Amino acid sequence: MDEAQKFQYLFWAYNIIWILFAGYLLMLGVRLRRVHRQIARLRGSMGKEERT
Amino acid sequence: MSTSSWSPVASAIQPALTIVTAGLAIATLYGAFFHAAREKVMGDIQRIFYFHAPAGIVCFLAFTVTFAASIGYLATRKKIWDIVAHASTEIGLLFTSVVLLTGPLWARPVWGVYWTWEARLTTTLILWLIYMGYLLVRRYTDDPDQQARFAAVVGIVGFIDVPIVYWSIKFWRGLHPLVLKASGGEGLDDTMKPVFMGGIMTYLALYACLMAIRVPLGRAEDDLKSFRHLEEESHG
Amino acid sequence: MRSPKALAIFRKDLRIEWRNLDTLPAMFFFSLLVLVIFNFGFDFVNADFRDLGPGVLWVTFSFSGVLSFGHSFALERDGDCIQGLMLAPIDPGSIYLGKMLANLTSMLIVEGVVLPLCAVLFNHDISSAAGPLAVVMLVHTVGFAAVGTLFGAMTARTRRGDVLLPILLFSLSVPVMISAVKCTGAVLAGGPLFAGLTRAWVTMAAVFDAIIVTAGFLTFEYVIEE
Repeated sequence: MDEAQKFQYLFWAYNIIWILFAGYLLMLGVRLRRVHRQIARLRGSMGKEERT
Repeated sequence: MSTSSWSPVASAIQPALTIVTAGLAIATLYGAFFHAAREKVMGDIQRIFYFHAPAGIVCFLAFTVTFAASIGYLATRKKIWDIVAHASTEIGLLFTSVVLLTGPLWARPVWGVYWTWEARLTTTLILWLIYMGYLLVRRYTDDPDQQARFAAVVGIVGFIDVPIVYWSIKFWRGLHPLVLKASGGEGLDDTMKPVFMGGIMTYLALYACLMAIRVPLGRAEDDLKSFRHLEEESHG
Repeated sequence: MRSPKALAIFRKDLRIEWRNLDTLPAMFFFSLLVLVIFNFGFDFVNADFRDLGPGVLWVTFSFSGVLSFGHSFALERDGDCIQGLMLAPIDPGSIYLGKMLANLTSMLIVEGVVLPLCAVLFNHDISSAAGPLAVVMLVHTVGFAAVGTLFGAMTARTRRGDVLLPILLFSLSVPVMISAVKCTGAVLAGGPLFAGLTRAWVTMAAVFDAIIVTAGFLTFEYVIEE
């Protein structure tokens, strides 16, 4: 295996770390957005109940 | 990402943690490629070591936190312990995945094989399976209290199991020649050691940073779940 | 007065099994079927029992064990008997020990039939190693039963217990699996049980048994609590 090929493995090893962490952060972001949406919806429905 | 409404402490330290993590990561990346000497036998591919081995060390730390928090939950029944255990398991699994994916990419050019059933590698794989089981138990249990209790038992028994797994695999493989002496970090020279330490610090900071996001998120999800539960009871 | 209560649970479970024969026949036929499938995979006639036998046997035993562990608590759940057990003046640890002994007994009965049968299918004479083999079976089956009883009780109360139990059981019982295969191989090759490497393996398995039984004994109340 020549040096250039070895570098490809190194390149992908580093990239895979970024991909994994980015994927996890993305997942956390989605979950956080869902929580915010639900809280907003609950706030809205509570406001309505108060007014009626 | 604002988590301020439910966890002021975490959201106060989280930006600082993010900056520290980014700084450490950049410093370690620089060190790994420009400061650390080129390993004589393995060549440049050894540079993945600085982000491979530290992930393994910090994943053990994460599962230790899971273990302690699981005991904390069973002893006090405070929901926060369960949330911490769950968060730490998720992040620990993320780090374990890093180890399991970077390992083969390092092994292939150096030993010519992607995988070898060596003690440390095999234990990491079993570790990954055990804690995936932890997440599956959570997923398939409906009652929230039951979910927390079951998860805590898996978090405790699984953690106790890991050293025996390691020992048994080591003993099982010990009869064969060790393929993998070089990955133990014995051959680190003076330029490599600080970079290795930097790797550990980076992952520690990243762990803290992710926990500071994930724990408040877990709390919010839990609050919402119990709120909806209450609502269903009052309406139904 | 801990053990008599565990023994009462043990006797109760054995009596139920003896009357209904719900699990043992299923375990036995399932084991037989696994052996038949292994035969197609490995061709028993041309293979050496000492090479393949240990692996084939322990995969078969652990697979059939899953049936026993899963049923052990499905029984209590379906009849709403858990509450009864919880109300009875028995500590959860004793329930665990009793259940574990019942599972252990079921597995040992199946192993006692399947092991000689497997040897016959391989055309291999195991009578010379019968004594050491029995010890190996006992020490390692305790480990499987200890893990299986704890997580069988847990997964019986989850939505996909049938999937969860094998996942937890097989990943946590890796040490006994390795040791069981090693010891069985050594004993089948005519080696002594309490010497050298085999002794170290048996000791390791016994330590594993002790640790998991203790962990199960202590955590079981959190598993069966309502």
